Amino acid sequence: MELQLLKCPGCGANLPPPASANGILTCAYCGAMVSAKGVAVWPKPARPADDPPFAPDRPRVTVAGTRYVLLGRLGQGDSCDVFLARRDARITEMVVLKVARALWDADLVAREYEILEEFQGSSAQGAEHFTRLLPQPVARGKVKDPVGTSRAAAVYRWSSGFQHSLTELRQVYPEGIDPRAAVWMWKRALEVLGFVHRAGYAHGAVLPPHLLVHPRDHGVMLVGWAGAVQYRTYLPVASASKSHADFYPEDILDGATPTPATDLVMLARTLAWVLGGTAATGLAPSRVPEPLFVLLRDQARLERGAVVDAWSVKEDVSRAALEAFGPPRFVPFTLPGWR
Amino acid sequence: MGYGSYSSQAHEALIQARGTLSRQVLFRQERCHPLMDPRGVNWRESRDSEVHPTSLGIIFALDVTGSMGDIPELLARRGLPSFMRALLDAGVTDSQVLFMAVGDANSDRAPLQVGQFESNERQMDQWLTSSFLEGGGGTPGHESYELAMYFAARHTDLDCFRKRDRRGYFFMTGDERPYPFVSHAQVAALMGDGLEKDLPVQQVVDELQRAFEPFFLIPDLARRRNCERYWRELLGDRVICLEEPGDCVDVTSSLVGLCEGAIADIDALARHLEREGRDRSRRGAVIRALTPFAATLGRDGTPRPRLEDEHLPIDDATSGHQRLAPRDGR
Repeated sequence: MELQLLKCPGCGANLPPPASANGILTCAYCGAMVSAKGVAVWPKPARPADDPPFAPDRPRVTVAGTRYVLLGRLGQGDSCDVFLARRDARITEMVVLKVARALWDADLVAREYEILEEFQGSSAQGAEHFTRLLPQPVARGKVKDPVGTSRAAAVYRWSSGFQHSLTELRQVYPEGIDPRAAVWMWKRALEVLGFVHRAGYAHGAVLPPHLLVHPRDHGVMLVGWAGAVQYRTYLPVASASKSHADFYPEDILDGATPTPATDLVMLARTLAWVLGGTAATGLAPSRVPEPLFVLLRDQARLERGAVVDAWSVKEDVSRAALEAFGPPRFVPFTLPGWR
Repeated sequence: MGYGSYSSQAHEALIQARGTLSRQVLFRQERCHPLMDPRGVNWRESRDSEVHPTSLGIIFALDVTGSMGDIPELLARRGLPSFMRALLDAGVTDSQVLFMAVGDANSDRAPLQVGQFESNERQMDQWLTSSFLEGGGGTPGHESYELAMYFAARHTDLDCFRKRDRRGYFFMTGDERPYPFVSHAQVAALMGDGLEKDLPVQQVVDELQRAFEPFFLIPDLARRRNCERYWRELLGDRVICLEEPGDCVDVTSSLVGLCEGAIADIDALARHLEREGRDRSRRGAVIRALTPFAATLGRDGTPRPRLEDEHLPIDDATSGHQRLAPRDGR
């Protein structure tokens, strides 16, 4: 079949001879696409690149070859700044970008990413369900900050609605949150820890800034995995948060390996604190009903060698809640901005 | 194509009649139906007509290898009428649906089968049930999804896009990864196209999204692990993980509803599904599957996170961490 030389219907430029009768040509001048038979397929440029850019005034950063639009800073941790970002393309992805503020802590960023990668590949019971409730790794690499310093960065998938840490809850409710809300937070956190322990890991840093809640769906997400270790390896946690020393059992700060019991102690201390009590003792205020008060206190003093299972503690929590509040029912928990 | 109009009652009646038929009777093809052979097809067209002045092209590219054949069967038995009804409820009146069946070009006899865009229930159903559920599949970890995307990108023409600048929808189901390149040899053998060289799958996605909103649906959580990361690199938040294959219809119709603005946000979707009579657990599953994508549209029904207007840090701050040494010098 003879192939004719075509002119672009968009701008009139000559097009190169087509390679085949069914081929599609792209005009080098205006970007129009034309079928080799001369029928204009897309007479005007409609390339994704021609879509208006998303939020053109926001800064862009590149991690591992992918460019992201920084939407704003979600918060600051002990060594990282955490940003909400989205892939800078029409087919996008919402992500959380974690960038080391303290350059010395680059290894912690890498370590956290590796551990979360291991979880995503875990075959422990319940992995299909629980890996969705852990931060999901997207990419890691270096980013250049505005003055040109290169910083360690990790990208995780954004989980809609998980935007309030327990630290923030205590700011909103200085007197402490509703004990009935503390019950679901405790149970959800115990479920995740149950999976994590079964997979052979201890989190090692169950602290208020590392527990994020979804107030509407009563969900809890556990972040801050840089300190997690496989508890059978006898390695210590790499680091501890200086500002949260009260939440750690003393032996951890001495360099002991965290165990499942360590996580349960830290979780109880965290909840006692967010209820308005003191972390170091795990004592909640007296308005917290007796059964919960006692359970929190006992959990906060667990021995490190204690043989405990997060799932059985969850049953204890349910029993204490039944005793304190009667049969479970949905009690809305609100934060500013939420209906 | 695309003549005739959609009747929900007729469609229901059609579905009712096949309640007890086995898969073999329902999908009786034993080879690629000659009309579904992509060889030599120039264009599959979704056109406006007097009956359908505002057509909207929708492609279902269904993986028919191995256990993935469940989804075409689900659609044929009960899914398709509720998909169409949900679109009508969502204000999408002139949808035109094309079915593709996807297999593996290295080992299947019919790795790509292509129907036509149809608005009429009988024809739509006919294309679906004319698919040959070969049930094969080959190289572990890969299927020829890239060929389906290539066909949709280069061999379809949509009036909704051409005349109204509105993209159609491309839904693909699957549980494996695509091959990284569209092979020019396979394209020549299957469709008769001459490509000068292999096309990277990334470029095919880029071409596909000119005229389509592409989505990839993974049928259950256990199969996420095979392929989710890979597809997310290609399609970002448009990779949707279902909790069970039966949610496919609710998820796809809700995606169209959300994108077209007929469903305002996830809360509105929850109410919509409740009206449709979905039980609590199915509603939850559909909402969990769709929330990440809804968040990219700003329609996840949660308040916008409080964000500080900051760029990356520039100073080397002191660490808030205390480094711990192993006890006993271990």
